[in-house]
Amino acid sequence: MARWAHADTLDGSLNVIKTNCNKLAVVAAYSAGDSYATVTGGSNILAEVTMASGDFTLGTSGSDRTLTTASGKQDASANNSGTSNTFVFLDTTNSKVLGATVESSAQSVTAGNPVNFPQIVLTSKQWSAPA
Amino acid sequence: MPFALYSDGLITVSAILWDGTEDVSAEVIYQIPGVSVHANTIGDQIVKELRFGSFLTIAEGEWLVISVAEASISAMRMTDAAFNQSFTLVP
Repeated sequence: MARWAHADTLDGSLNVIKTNCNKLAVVAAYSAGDSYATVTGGSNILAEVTMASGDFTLGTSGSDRTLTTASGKQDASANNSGTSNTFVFLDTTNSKVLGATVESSAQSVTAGNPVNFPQIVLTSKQWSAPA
Repeated sequence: MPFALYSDGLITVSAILWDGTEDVSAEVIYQIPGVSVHANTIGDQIVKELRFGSFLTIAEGEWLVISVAEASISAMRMTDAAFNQSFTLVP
């Protein structure tokens, strides 16, 4: 017996982001499941960059599938000051938070200053036995 | 980083001026709010330091960031390095 998923299966969720994410932002606060209004409201968005399908690259890592964001993305002028907490992948057309992942440096970003976004690798894991 | 709120609207601003020689002198230049200042020079003299009452001191080469809101004015000192700093995020 074995567990296995085709790359197309693993790519499904990654392709949702690749196809629909048109903004990548770093926010000061995020809790799992936060609404679009909460994530984008007030001064929560510290910096943001526009994304398109071509800014995402699907790949393979062992038995897993990955989605990597483009390098060199910069917001020349940060929207707000605050401590960086979470990257959020947004679909502004349909007002959805497609995904969120940790920003680990927790930097004190200053409004008006340049903010460089790193390459972010999202992984869709090969099926395995439940932990 | 010093931070001052000019909620009373009347804070005396003084500048320490330098004429290129050994001499320095202090001059009261204006009162908050509503007046902007060219902080590098006043007339022909270089500003070595700006002092906002006892709250905030801006040395030569540093930046004074003034934010105006509906009911208050705030000012913040930033070093040149901080003013021009870019931030590189980390996943």
